[in-house]
Amino acid sequence: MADAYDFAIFGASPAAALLAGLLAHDHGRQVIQIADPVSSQRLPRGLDLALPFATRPASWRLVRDGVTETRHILASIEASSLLTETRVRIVADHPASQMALAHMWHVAAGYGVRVHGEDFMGVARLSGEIELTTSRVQTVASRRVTVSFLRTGAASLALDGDALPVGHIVLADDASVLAHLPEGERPSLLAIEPMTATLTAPARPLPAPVMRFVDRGVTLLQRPDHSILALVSGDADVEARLGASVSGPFPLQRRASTHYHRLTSRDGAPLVGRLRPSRLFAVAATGDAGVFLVPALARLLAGVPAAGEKAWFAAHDPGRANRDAVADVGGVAA
Amino acid sequence: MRLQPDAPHDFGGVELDQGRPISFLLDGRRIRGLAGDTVLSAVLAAGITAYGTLAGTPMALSPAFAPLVSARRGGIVPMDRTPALDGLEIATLGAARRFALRQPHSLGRLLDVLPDPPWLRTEPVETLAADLLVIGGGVAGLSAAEAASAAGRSVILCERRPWLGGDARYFGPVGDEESPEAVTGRLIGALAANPGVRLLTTAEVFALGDGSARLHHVEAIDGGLRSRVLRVDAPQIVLATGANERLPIFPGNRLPGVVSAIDAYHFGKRYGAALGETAVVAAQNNYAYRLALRLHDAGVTVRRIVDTRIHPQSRFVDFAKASGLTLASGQMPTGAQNGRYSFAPVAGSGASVEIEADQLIVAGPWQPDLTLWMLAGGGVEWSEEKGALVARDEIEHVVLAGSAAGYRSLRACVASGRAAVARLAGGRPREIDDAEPGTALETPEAPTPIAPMIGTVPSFLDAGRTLVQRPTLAQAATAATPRALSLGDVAALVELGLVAASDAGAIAEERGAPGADLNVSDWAPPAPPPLPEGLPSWLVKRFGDDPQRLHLIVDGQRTFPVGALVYSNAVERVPDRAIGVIVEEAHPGGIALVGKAARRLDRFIVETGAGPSPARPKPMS
Repeated sequence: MADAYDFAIFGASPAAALLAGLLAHDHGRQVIQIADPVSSQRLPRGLDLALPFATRPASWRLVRDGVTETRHILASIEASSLLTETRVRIVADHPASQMALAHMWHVAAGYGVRVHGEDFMGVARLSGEIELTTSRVQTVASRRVTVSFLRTGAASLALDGDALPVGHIVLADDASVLAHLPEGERPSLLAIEPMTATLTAPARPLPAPVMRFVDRGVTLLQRPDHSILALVSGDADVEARLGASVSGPFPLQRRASTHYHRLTSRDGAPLVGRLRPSRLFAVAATGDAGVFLVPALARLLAGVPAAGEKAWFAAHDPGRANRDAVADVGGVAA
Repeated sequence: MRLQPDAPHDFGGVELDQGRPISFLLDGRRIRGLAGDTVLSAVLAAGITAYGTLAGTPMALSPAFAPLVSARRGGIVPMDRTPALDGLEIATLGAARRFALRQPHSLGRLLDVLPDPPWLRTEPVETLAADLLVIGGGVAGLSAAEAASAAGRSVILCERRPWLGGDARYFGPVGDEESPEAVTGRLIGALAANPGVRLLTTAEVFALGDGSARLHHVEAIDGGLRSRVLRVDAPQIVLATGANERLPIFPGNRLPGVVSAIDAYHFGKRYGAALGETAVVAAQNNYAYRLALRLHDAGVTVRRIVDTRIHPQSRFVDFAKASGLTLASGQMPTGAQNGRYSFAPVAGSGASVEIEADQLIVAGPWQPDLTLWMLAGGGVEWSEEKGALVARDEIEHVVLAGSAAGYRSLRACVASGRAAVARLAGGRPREIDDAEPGTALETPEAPTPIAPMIGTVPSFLDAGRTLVQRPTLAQAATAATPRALSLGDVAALVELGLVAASDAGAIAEERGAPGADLNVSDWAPPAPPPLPEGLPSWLVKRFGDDPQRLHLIVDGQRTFPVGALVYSNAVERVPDRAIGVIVEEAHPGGIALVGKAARRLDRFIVETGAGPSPARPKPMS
């Protein structure tokens, strides 16, 4: 255990673990990750899929480059098997969504994603745990760490009751932002969305292994055993929306279910940057593709961003007054 | 086999009428029993100890794992809650091989897919109502019902088993305190005499929420069976659902012949039967010695009591020694196969022993049954102190009592039933003394025995229908199993180090209350809001501050798809170099939104998805 750390990374998601690992190993920083272990038997809260529901070319470029880099990183830690490829079908019911989706097909194809009919082919998906136990990253359970705020509003940390000097505190995923960012400091652009994750018994094959119904708020993943993991946003008509989206046979048994929250932004674009006055660095509303932004995020935090990355993060900074140029599909109503 | 009708300690079968033999047909096979038997107890006593096979492995028949049977009168009912009636004709449900020789000791079912109880999807035929619903007829539930009824409140008490009193009798009396028999008898007597109390046995609650419960009830009526789904409305509920004894984890722990200590106790005490003439008892607590003594007195040859603990101290150990039983300590079960049971030193070194017997009786730790608590919206968490998942948080109008609430002693369970009723009446939580008098110098129970993974015989994590086998580390690290997980399964995964203790409660909750089945739905998204005037948000500033619409064409026929990107030349066709996008269908060509600079161009490239196409602005007519 070091006396002080350059970065304290909050979060147990693959994105948080990858960020902590990159900062420690590629950028030589002292890193402590504050996370509770997440068993593989728990229901996933997202799919870590390199398919942002987005149309802005800069975001697609960042994700594409992030996939390439993540593939190399995983190969270097003998974890290539964590990155697989899958076929994704996005279904839009409303004309406005259909128009955005039509544009998204062309942008995705422009960045090398094979689009066949309604399906996005060979989409990278990260599945499994990024193991940091043997790395330089110090990992501690969240119950040992308390976040408090000085009179100036700046956040500080204590580990087992003793002050823990850290250079930067990063809330690296939606769950950690929800857990540690005071409500009063939550950017007004962020909205908390109730979510339900459900695992069904084995079901009939879906038209594609991953189905995303953008206007129903339903995402389905059919697993190799044919069971379906369903992630449903919102808390109205959850059963009805699921029943209209899965393939049966009905009645289809639910084997597990859980409720949680995620963050979305009202303008559909991620928020990544430092908040005032706490100086907490928040990574929020990045959606399924957030993990593929991590290599660029690590460079930004280490002070060595590439030119395009620096511009992208500046445009998505929560302190930026006008975000018209980054607003995207998928925003939620205020 | 049946024990002697006059066996000591009432091990002749307190439920049985020895003077009324009965017989019934199960899958065409004649089963003989006694009035008072359940279908399951009569089948087990007749020597049928296997339910069937799971991927080729024979699986023991037990109260926690018994088939549904279809009765000509009475519908589909569970074996363990169904009274054995003379002349009954029933058939087990589930898959079976098309051609197979009848196996004398097995029901012969294929267990890879188990049929679901149909009552889970059946509407209630009747609604009952009371001021208080007590779920569980052990001493805590009885005590809660008695306290509420004494205060003038109407009570419905539901018990899954055919009898009341729960498992308290297994643990026996402590010191000079009132015995479980006496406590149970007194409480049942008081409740039976109160017209405001309705006691329902063989009634299993399977759904709970919002002051209402659904239960499935089986009863004998007019010489036949009746099974019904009932609804109970009650503004307040006491959950006294007890605790389940968990399995030690070793290869073969669910083979026929392996029986949990609590099942062996009730089988002997209630139905005067045992799974064979000889037994080995695998203990990790002191009560297993008490059971071994009772079986020994009832005529079962106990070949050895093998204890995980090293040199355990207990009055029951002393009694067993004094009775001449052979004891071995510091050993745990490591395998079972064909009536041969192997044990190895827990210390890891020393010789293994193998003992032949008709049955291996295994004692394990106890997991509070919080299934209904989770269905009602309650949370659970792992307790290192208790080595079990325990309840957390509170639910309005629902209170736990007895061993479901984590209490162990008879005295505390009785007190917790009363305290639960007081709590529902608005009282403050009471401190309840859970110390067992006279046990301070006794060796406490050991954690779950866990044997090494050897060979191909599977180890199961729990005793019920989930059938989750002990995974390897690699299997546990892969995606969440699509099987249901019981609380016992999750507890075993924690003890095996395959699930973090901090995660166990969340996993149990996810699995413990997954919600009702999904049904087909014609849900459609509500009508979309009208399209906003001007550009959609994702196109704002995409092509500068002042984008223009331009009709692009290439020839007289071709149309451009909406969403296609427009470039100024054929060389740099990456989306962030695009100068426009097709936003509207038009024939021929398409309407593009382009940046200000593009208006000066007279040639474009449209990336159609099927390849690049030249385009030009359509001349103004």
